[in-house]
Amino acid sequence: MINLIFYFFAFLAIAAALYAVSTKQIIRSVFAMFACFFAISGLLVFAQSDFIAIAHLMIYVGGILVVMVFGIMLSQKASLSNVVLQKKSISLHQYLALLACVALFVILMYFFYLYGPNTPIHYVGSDIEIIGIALLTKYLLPFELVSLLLLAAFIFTAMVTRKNKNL
Amino acid sequence: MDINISHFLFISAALFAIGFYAAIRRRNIILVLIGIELMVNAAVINLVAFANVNTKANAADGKLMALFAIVLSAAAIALALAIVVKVYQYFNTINPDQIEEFKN
Repeated sequence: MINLIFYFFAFLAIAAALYAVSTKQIIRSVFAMFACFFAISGLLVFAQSDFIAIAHLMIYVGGILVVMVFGIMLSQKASLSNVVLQKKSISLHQYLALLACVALFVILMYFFYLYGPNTPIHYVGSDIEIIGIALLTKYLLPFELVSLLLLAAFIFTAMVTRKNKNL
Repeated sequence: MDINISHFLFISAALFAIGFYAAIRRRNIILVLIGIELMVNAAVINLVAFANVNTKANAADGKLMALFAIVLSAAAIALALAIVVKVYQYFNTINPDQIEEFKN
């Protein structure tokens, strides 16, 4: 039963990602990414890391995708239902990209098959405690640095998008 | 309940390949960003899955690396979308093939 839920999340993640990169309307691909990120955070729960899963759900589904919808609304003049990607691109480019993608997948699976571990994931207890202790002892400096970088990135974002400032 | 780690490797390889396809197909800047996000997510799945393999090592290492990767990709996506909005105001398109020059 639990394994069935895992396979459902795996199928949902891959199918939603495939739909997102293959659909013609860009707003549909963003909404497919909602399903994909939700399934990925479900998979992270199965990898025995609850805190990462909740953080992933909040940051991606609650933050990044909403920002992406705003970006689409601000960068397309037509109404959202009519935003269609141009079809006129060279099809050779598409086939080469597809070939490179399949080749990358095959190479990755080959090396995982050769060298990857084949052990089940053990449950070592809730990860909130070890993450909290590690963040305030061993990883204190990277934690502070990444928070400073996030602040700098958001200040820069607000500066770039100011209206009375040329590019 | 114990899921084999090779299943996670398969899912992350598939997601990475799909994201790579979206990134090099580049029909639209937003789709390129979505592809990059998919690749980051594949890496996060791998990091979290490998964090639990060896129980004797510190299990927080892989998880914290995944957390930092999520934070950095959030910052990158915010910056990239701001630049996308500016590029649209300047060029009136966000198709990468139609943006020819960056200097006026």
